[in-house]
Amino acid sequence: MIIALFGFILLFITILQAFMPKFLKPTEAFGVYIPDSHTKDSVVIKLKNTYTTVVLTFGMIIFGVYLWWALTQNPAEETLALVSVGVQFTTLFVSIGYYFMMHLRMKRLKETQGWLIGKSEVRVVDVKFQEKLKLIPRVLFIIPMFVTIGLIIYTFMKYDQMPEMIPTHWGPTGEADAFSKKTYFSVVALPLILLVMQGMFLMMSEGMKFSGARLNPANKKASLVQQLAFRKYTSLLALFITIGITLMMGYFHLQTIHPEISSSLIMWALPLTFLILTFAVVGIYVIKVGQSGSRLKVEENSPAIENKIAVDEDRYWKGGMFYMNKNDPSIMVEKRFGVGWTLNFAHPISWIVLLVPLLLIFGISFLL
Amino acid sequence: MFIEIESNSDVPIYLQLAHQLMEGIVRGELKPGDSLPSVRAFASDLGMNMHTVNKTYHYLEEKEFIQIVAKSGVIIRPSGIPKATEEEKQKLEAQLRPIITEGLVRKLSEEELVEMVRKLVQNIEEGKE
Repeated sequence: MIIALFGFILLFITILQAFMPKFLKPTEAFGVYIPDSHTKDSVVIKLKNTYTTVVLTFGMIIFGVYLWWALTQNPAEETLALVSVGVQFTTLFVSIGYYFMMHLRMKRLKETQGWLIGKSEVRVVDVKFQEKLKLIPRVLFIIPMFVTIGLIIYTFMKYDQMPEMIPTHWGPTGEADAFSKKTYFSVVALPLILLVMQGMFLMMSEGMKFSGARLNPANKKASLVQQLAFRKYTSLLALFITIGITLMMGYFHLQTIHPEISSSLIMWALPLTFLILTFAVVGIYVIKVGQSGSRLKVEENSPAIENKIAVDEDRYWKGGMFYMNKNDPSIMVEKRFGVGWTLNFAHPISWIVLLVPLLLIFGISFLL
Repeated sequence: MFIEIESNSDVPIYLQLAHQLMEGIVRGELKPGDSLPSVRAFASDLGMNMHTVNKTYHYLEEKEFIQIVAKSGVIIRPSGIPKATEEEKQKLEAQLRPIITEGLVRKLSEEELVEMVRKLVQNIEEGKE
């Protein structure tokens, strides 16, 4: 069971990483801006295909070796979990390392071939973008947070009834395997972590309102429609995960207070269902929507204008991955290599947004 | 309504922005009472400093084309923009004078200059470049 689960995750990571160029805007290859007139150059396509082949081949070999090892060597559960996570990280690091090599090659290619020479760089803005932007209303993210706060209050009311040892970790079979002594802090640690996570998803959805939209001057209308849809679906994804973790962690917590509702079947099936559903939803999001909505079919009305290209922002993207632009007030920005969002690290607030929730979650777990 | 800013142009960005918004008003794409993006949202979309957008908004506010209202944000003057007064007309004339002079120095005839103005008016109204 564990092998199937970890194997599935490993396969998912490998395929996602290998086919990443397919899920991105054609105007961004390996973190480098490519003007529309060069997106179909055979060199560019060849580099993308090479990347996919190499990452996929490597990933499949790792996957095969991992399966062989796990199935024939009967490792202890601890070892298996450790190695599984290690293998996932190895696959990730290798694909990122190879990405970086491709990034440097692409950058050199762009420079030597002078793709930007003679073009005028244009920034396109839709004045009504904010009005057209339809995100999931904030309140739908706040309601689950109130549920959590209610759960915390309820826990304190039931404090006397609670067991002397509070479960803090559950094994793969759904049985608690780590406990902490009952204190006013340890009884609410789980809902507190839940609250931090809910807060993160709220910020993610709301942050998109303060994130600049980059429209492509060569097809303004299409990229506008894609941008708006991308943000709507991101917000929907965040809501789905918020509700999912609320249900899952809420149940985990309630069954500590009321052992009579506990069922090892639910304890085992709930996280698994949540995990599989999340992977399915993320998969649909990546394949159907794509980065910046690039995979959504849109009717193109405005003709492409040859000498107008988007503003080249490569200098703000360190390694094509980390965005640092002091002038741009955006906090959240769309990733260049990857589906989703990253932060503008030139602003201290980005570091706060990134580190505070992490520190809180680690802090709560550490204090237990 | 789309706005296009050329990053390598000689015209300062805040002026390009102001000109494009004014063209939007001429074409009726921005109607009296319409709201404009907040300074932060506009600057984010432009990927430029908020100061630039501020400068544009103050430039347009000075001309009384827009109103910066503390709570509701920035809006196109709700009562519509009135016809230029005699004083405003004189000011425009003074601004136009050196440009017409340069045209004359470059041996453009009166007809050619009038034709130029006619074509520009047409292009602005149709949103052409």
